[in-house]
Amino acid sequence: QEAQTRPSRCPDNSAFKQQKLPAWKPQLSLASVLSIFFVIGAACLAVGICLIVSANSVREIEINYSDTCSDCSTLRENSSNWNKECYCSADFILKEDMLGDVFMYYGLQNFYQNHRRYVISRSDVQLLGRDVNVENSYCTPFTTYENGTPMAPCGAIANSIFNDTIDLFYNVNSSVIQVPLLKTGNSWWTDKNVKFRNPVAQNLSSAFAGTARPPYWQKPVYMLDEEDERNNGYINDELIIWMRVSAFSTFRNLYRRVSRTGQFADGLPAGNYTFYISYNFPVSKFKGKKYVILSTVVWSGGSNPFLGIAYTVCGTAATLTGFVITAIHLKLRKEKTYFQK
Amino acid sequence: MASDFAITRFKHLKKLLLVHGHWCYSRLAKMVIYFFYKNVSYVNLLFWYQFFCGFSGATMIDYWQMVFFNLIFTSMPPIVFGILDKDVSAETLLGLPELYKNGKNSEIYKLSTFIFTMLDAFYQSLICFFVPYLTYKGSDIDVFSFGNPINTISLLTILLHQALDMKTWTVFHWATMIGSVLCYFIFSVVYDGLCVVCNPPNSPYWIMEKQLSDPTFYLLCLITPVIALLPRYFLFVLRGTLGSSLILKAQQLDQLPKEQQDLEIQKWRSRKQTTTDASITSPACNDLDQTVNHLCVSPFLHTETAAVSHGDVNGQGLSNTERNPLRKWTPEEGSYFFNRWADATDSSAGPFSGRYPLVPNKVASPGQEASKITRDNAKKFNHGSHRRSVSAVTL
Repeated sequence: QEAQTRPSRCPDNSAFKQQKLPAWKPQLSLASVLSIFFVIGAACLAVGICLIVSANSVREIEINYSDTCSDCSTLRENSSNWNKECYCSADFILKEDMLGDVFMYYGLQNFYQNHRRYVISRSDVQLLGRDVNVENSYCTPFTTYENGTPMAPCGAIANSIFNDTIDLFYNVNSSVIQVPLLKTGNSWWTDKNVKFRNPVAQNLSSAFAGTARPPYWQKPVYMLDEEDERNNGYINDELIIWMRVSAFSTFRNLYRRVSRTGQFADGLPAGNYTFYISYNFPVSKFKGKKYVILSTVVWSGGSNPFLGIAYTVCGTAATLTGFVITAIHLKLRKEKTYFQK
Repeated sequence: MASDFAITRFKHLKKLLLVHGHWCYSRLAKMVIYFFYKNVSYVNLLFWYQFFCGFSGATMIDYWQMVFFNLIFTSMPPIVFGILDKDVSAETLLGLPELYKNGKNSEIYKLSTFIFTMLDAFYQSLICFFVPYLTYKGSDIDVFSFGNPINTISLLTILLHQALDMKTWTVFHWATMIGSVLCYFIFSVVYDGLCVVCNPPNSPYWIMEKQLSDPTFYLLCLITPVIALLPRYFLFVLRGTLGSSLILKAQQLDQLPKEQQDLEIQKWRSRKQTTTDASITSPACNDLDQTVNHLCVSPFLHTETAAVSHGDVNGQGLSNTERNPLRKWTPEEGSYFFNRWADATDSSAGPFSGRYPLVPNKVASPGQEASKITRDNAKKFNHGSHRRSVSAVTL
């Protein structure tokens, strides 16, 4: 009988199955290690110094007005005063010109927009303009009133919108000029045009028929900006910016931009200025503070020099470590090691 | 680590123990410690954020990105590492059987390894959180735009950490590393580009695209992994320069050309032998055939391994013998094992018991238990017994 050859059960002699794949074996040789440390050190130092220089070139001024407007803040502590207006002025002096685009922010301190229950309290579908039942959505308890009217927009985020009005006046030669400010173009393009849409109807007030304003608002959502149709309803810039909840308890939001026309074509000239504020947002109950911030911007962000400092420190540390390694190597070179290259 | 192997020849045992055993241990140990590190370092990011969100349990990283982080983006590189990585080459492992101790003594994964890895994970999570935090502090960044660079930085740091550990880079390693990063960016861009309301209540629409157009994002993603991993890299460099473990020397040995490798091993062995005052050479070498000639320089004649295995047999723990690994070479054990190997390869019979029965205690050191010798084994060692009585005087 013929001997039957059984198929071999050995694994294939391929590179993969015999674990003989070609491989690059990195080794910590002196040249590679020192070059890595010194290159990282030099590059980080260079970038760090650039970043620090550019952060220092940002002009910024921050005015705390919740402390100076103390009578308004005490008025607002009592919520039954909600329909009483309160105005407040805050003066400041610009020692140098603020050249370039000047941005005006409002700042809040000790306001936790990043609280978990607060962050989820919204309905993106409603803000898209779709007809949706907000009763059992994440917006609870700010969903409907007792008579069943839904709130538009629902949720705690929209309900607590920042509603101070801030105007800027320039005092020159005993005359007061109002600085022209732009109130649109401050939000993300995708937010304004995709994520937030008004419900479609003949006019805006009929689009929101059957809904009511949230409890803390003074006007309904279709009266947020009656002058500009493209800034009214859900697509109001201030609402959009507020709905982008901030990551920390001390934050700022873009409020207005200085319009570069007339006297302010190059920015804000040096001189005396006044903020004229309609104080509505109460912060004293939770020991918060409010600020107005005027700032220019650079490509690397704002006036926070931390990133530049981080790069510089890392570059210095890497360079020093490179020197330490060189010193160790020089000291050890005299001793013989077992396996010499 | 339970593993059952069936081999057809005793000669396969050598490679199984020395090469595959070592690789298996090394890969598994490193993969396990890496998984601990990866998860501690990632979840701690969420913990540090609690200090800034009123301890309310808010997560700044988008839910689906978090889920896929461990599932897709950082899962493949450690698996490829655990299958394919070779920290020392097969030839060196076979040529330096002393390296077998590396696995026996759990040198790659001890309690100190775990503690240092956890400290490293805490440090890296601190850096990965606080560098972006201090960069964006007081600005107008929103919650998920803050979580996005943190997630990206953490991914890059974790993958680079793995890359620092990888000793052999095959095409699979390159593919999974680069593929993971690409996968993450492509997924983020697509998900953030399409999802307007798909993930209620917080859909991350356009967050990644907005970050990708911001120079601060790139600057952060470059510096933070560097800061996070620089201490670890520095420690690796120091260990490579100053460390004296055998596994490190073996890795350095791998770099040398072949002839120089054998030379270096011989030089190292002779250096070790002179320090151990070996007074008896191995006359038995001359009796045996070429196939076991290389066993003359096998570890079983050397003090350290002999001492260790002596300790094993002793059953009294390794403390006695490990405390002075340079104690005098006990020729009786050496020749004992040597003869056993010789018999094993000569007759190629009998199972390898794994325990080394002791010679009757004419030359036993105090405190040593006289183990039993099975009868058939006793026969085999008769021809060595005359050497035992000779060597008794040297003790």
